[in-house]
Amino acid sequence: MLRISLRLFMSNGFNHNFKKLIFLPSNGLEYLPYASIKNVTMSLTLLTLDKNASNTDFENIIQIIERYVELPTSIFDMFVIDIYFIWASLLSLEINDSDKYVFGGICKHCGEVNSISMNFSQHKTNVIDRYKPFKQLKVKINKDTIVVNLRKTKDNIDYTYLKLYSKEKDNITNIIHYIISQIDYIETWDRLTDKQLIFEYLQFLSYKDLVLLLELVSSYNHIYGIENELMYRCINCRKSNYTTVFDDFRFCVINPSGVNTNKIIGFYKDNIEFSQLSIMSIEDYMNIPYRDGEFFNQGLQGAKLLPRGF
Amino acid sequence: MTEVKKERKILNPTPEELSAKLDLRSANSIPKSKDSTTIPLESLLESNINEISKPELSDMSMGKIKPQESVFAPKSLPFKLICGKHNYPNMENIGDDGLIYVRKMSSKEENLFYEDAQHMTIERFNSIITQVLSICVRSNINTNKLYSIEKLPLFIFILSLTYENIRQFKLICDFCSKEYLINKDIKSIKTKYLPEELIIPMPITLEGYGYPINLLLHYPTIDEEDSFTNEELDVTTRIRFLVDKIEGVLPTGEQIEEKHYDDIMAYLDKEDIKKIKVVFDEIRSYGFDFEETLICDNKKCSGYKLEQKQSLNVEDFFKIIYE
Repeated sequence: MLRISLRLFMSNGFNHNFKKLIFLPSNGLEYLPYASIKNVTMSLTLLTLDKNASNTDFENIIQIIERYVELPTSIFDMFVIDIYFIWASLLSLEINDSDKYVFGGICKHCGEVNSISMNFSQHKTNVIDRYKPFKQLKVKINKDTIVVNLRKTKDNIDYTYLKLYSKEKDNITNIIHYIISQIDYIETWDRLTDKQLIFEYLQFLSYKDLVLLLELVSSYNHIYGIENELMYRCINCRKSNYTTVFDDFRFCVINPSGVNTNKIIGFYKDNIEFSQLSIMSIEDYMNIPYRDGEFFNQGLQGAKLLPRGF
Repeated sequence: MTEVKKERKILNPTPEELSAKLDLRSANSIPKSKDSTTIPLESLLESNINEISKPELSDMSMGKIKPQESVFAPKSLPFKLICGKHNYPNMENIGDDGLIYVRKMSSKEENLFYEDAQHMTIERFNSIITQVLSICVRSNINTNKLYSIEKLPLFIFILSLTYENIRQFKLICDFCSKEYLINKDIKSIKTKYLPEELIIPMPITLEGYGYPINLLLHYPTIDEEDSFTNEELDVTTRIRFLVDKIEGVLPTGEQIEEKHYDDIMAYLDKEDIKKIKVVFDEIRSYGFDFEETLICDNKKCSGYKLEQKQSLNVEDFFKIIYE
């Protein structure tokens, strides 16, 4: 009886039915500016532990977003600023037990690895003004103009795999692979839209011009959305550092594939032990809200129902 | 007018000819040197040259110029080789006046200097320059077969096409060690070309053996440079690489043949080595003239207001790559 009522509570209770609406920073530029965050459950653990789920941190992010967020369009056509905004929202609302986001930063002065904690709710988000004409980035190099679109998910995916499969592994090709998918056209003696020609064009830029273009494109990619630049003081040398919260280059690095066997075994062990309680099945456990995992344990402990070892 | 048309057929005219035949407007803008073998680099870098610098399509189809890399590849500009055409008889794609076509570096070539820059060594830097020359020289020649005295002027020329021309050089007073930073336009650096009568390989008569031996030595090419400057090898071994031919008659009456070369070079007399060195030093004196006049303004200096002949530091040319 207890088991049945808990199941009813889990599946129909308030925890499971609401969807949190969020308003996207692209503000209707190409698609509706709404997304709905669904309840993230303990099953997320299986996804994050699955070695086949993703190759890069960015793929991992879009994988989780696709599963737990109702999106206005195909995720591949969405702007990266929206993806990072959704990810930050998902982390604060559903995944973390606080709205703090923690990531690493290496001090440029002493090399110390710092653990940087930021609070998304207090961080500024810039939304595109839908009542003003949206401006593409226009970079003037010599007499030419390079016109750049706002970065989309597919641009990051392309970059990851272009880099992976390219025979040329030098920095220049890497930079070009990052920029090229975003370029709409180049105005030179003619309007270049063919990507092969654009690739050739970029190859023959000077180093200074190419790096300048990269800097401008990188800045442009984060003009909107969650403010990306963050200042922190190094814990070791106390000197100031600037870092980026969301870094496409970092997020698009292919992680070495590996299975954390112990974590997977641990997850299944917990699951089986919980399912042996008269109150719940494996399915019930999987449906516990992810952010409530710790509270649920505490609740069971209070009710003296926690399995041995917890 | 007829004469101009006729001259257009010349593949690689001298800078003066270039200005005369292709852009009469700018003919006067190219300074004429008093010394026929000394021409300021400026004459090759003027913007008016840019307009006429693209190798003619016929040169490309004849294979004198490497196939076009891309429609976006930078324009090629003419560079006059220090040793002149006459010293490269086998390189048919060098113009009659010793002109070859060169383009500036693109980000890919520049990046060669930045990759692993923290662990850059002189040897690696030198080998990158060799690599850059083979890419940026657009005339269809093997740049490794150019004599090594071409390397520095050619690379500085490429640097001046790639970056701005005004550079800062450090000079130090010989008397009081006061440091001076001078701004110099690379275009104004004079170049000394090998005169027609100076032919490589150079004939040298060895006298140390007591009977005349005629040696035909070439100056090290770019790809022989490493062996030639390798201090782990003794001098005679280093010179051996450069022997083209040895002629003479041994005391036995036997004609000198290739089988004798190693022995002849291994037991060279000190005076003969000196003689070879003199010839090499003479060739080395051609190329860019890095001499600069410094007048010290330190009133306490014993060399106050004296004209001092100083040499520009070659490393100061390269700094621009990392700025």
